[in-house]
Amino acid sequence: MVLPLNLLRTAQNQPMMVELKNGETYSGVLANCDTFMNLQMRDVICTSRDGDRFWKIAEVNIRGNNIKYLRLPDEVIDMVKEEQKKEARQAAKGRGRGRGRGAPAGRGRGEMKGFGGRGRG
Amino acid sequence: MATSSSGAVAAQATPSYLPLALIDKCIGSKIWIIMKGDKELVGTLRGFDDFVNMVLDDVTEYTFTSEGKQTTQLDSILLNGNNITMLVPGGQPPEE
Amino acid sequence: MSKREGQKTIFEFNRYLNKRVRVKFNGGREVTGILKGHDQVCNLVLDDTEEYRRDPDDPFKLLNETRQLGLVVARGTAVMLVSPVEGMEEISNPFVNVAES
Repeated sequence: MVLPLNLLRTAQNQPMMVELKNGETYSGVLANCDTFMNLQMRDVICTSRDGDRFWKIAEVNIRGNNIKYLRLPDEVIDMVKEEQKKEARQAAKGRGRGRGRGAPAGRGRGEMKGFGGRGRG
Repeated sequence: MATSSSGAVAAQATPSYLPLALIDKCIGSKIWIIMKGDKELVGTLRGFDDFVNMVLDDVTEYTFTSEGKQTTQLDSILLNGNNITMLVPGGQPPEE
Repeated sequence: MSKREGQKTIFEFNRYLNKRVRVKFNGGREVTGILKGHDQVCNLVLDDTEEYRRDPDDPFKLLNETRQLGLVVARGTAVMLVSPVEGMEEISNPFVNVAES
């Protein structure tokens, strides 16, 4: 399952387009994002809501609560899946090592539960 | 981001320029409040809370419509902070 | 207050201190001002603030007229977008050019 915020996090340094609730759109490179869906973008082109005025802006900070939707390159979805696989592999490796060293059973179980949750998520 | 360094910067910038500290300094004096829509209020600030709901005395409310400016006088009000966009300390009445 | 400011945002407004920034608000208001301070919930202190006047018939249409507000506190809950004024310019439709070239 691909969570929206994971997708967004993976889209960092990728070109994207954001439409705000007021109808303005911002196209540029995603520099940073957080769990509020706040965005920091660079080299942005802003389009007015009627679509007939345009601005070039070096950087913008957008509050997540004003976002209507985001458009990302198709590849990003594959990148997320790739990353999830990598994470799952690392999790499995970590678990194996932990057992090998004879980690306390309590802790081992705790970790597994955590990983299981993420794998499904 | 480096928590320690941003903490140091925040401490530097603190003295007069924390937004809510500035509003706190306005208590007892006139303040001009610009709302989300076409309303503005000028009054004496008595107090405010975490949501920036405000208690104001001797308020003049201005409503800007395409026909012009409407004003309303109000004695004492509790203003919901939800629709506030900007607060201007000192609050000269809007000339329009 | 610190209770409500617990979580960090990505905004690095310290970088813009003493620089002129453009702030767009929920509801269509728009100002530029010199950033003097901010807090965790996006409240801003702006100096020398100018508000762009709006078309009385279409509150989302900005006129080129401005009015001076001076030192203001902008409410974080109403802030929609913050960007430095430096590096911003109006341009002709860039998407048409992309299609042609």
